[in-house]
Amino acid sequence: MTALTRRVRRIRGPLEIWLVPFFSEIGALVMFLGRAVRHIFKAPFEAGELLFQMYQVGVRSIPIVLIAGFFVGGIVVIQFEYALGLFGAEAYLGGITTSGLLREVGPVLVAIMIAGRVGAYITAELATMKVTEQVDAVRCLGVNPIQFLVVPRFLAVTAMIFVLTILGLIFALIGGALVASLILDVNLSFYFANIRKLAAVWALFNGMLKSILFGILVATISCYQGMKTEGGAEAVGQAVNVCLVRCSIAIFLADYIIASLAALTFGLAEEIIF
Amino acid sequence: MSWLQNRSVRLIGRTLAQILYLARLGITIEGIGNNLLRFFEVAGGGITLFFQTLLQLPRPPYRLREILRQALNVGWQSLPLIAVVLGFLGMITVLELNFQLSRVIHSIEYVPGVYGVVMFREFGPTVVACMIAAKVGAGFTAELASMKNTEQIDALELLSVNPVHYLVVPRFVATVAMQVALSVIGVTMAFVTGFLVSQPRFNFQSYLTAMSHFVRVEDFINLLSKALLLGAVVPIVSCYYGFHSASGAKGVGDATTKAVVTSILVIIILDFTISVFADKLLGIVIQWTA
Repeated sequence: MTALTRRVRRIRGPLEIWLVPFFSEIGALVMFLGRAVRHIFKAPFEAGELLFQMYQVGVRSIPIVLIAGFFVGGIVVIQFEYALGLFGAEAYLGGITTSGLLREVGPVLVAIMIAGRVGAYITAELATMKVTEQVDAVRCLGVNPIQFLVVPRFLAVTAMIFVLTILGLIFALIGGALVASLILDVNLSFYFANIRKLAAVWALFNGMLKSILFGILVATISCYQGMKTEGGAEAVGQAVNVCLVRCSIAIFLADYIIASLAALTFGLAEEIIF
Repeated sequence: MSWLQNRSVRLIGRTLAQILYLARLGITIEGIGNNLLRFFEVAGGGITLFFQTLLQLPRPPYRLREILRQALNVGWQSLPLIAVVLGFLGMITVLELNFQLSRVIHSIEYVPGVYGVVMFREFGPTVVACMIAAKVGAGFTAELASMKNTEQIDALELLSVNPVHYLVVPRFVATVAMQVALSVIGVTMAFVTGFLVSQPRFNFQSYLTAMSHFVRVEDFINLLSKALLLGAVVPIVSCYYGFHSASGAKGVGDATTKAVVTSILVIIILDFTISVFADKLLGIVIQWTA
């Protein structure tokens, strides 16, 4: 046995433990997403189920998203007032806060909240159905479980994260302006003066693109983790935990990729839009 | 009030009332009242549990082994998650600040300073607390709720062991300690990745210098105290929901999701309160000591 093969043998251990499961998991996730998307366009459309899921996901999460958005807007304004005050650029407070909320903080915040509230719930629901063999019962009745169970939840989460991001952003901007004027004593006309200059359509487009992507990620991961679960009641709890961890990592990873793409294309976008 | 007698006005009013009633969106007075009652019930229960935990904290049988076991669960097993998330957060924040400040003041020499201030004072401790809530809080709630469902908590009481002392105190101590440790580690990670992203413009020396213009000792005190205070939220909220979960598998699942969301919400609101009052309090303390 040469030294090279011995070294390959030594590397293969961690490779098989870490890398192969990692990539096979990502592959399974992408294939699951493909199946779900293909079944969106197939004939029996579960409109009633879709509406019910939209109510469950969207309407019942509105209070949480609004409260969280309001306070996060306040927090961002307070911190940026301090940070910009260090080099005397308080005049740009309104513009920078609005732009930061639209592009970055709002979509991430709403996606994390919805992952915690809805993603975990969907995983627990589907995992319980899988563990108690209700999914097999659905298949026995000649109904495709992907079409009946996954597609309505997938569509509802994707659409509702987008809508909730818009609502949360509105409240975050209101909260930011209120905190700036009431607690920090910033003149509101100064606050609003720079918003037009710094937060253009491009920022809104960036944020909305992020929220759609986060919605697809949260929906795919939570449905996939639910449908994959096997075992007993303990497996359900573990599936919820794994779903939350993967959702948070996926959200921040996607956010980084889009932010770096935006930084790369910044000059180009500047030329097109301004 | 003659317009109230108008028939069409009354019809519109009645239709609106019916729509509201049928929609049952919780906008009715009764819905608001019920929500308020539930809110005060939960808030009161959580605060009671917090003070019970503080009371039980110094009582003798110190379960060191249990505390270490929970610390392993909370700290060591969340370390990869915290490192990855805070690493990406650092890179994202630097990229965004590059973008914003290059448009505002047309130079990026202040980016490391602003980045350090924002990361140490705000994003570091808050994001770590939210991630701990998602990673650990759900596990705490599921564990305690299934213990309650299988009547193990009643068994503890029969053995005259205080469930708060036996179950909540070790988790509380472990989470608060590990929260501080993980915040420091995560912020260090974000510091390193932030340097990696601002690499071509700054070398390590100039990165540190630019950061040291703005970041002061108070920011680190802020980081540690915020981590300490926010670390108390997750064990209290998730243990409260675990103790008060409904029976059955559905009850456990409901309690778990509620615990995660309530933890994140409480973290955000507490963080807002701290941010409003921190500077004033720190100023008073510094005046007293100096």
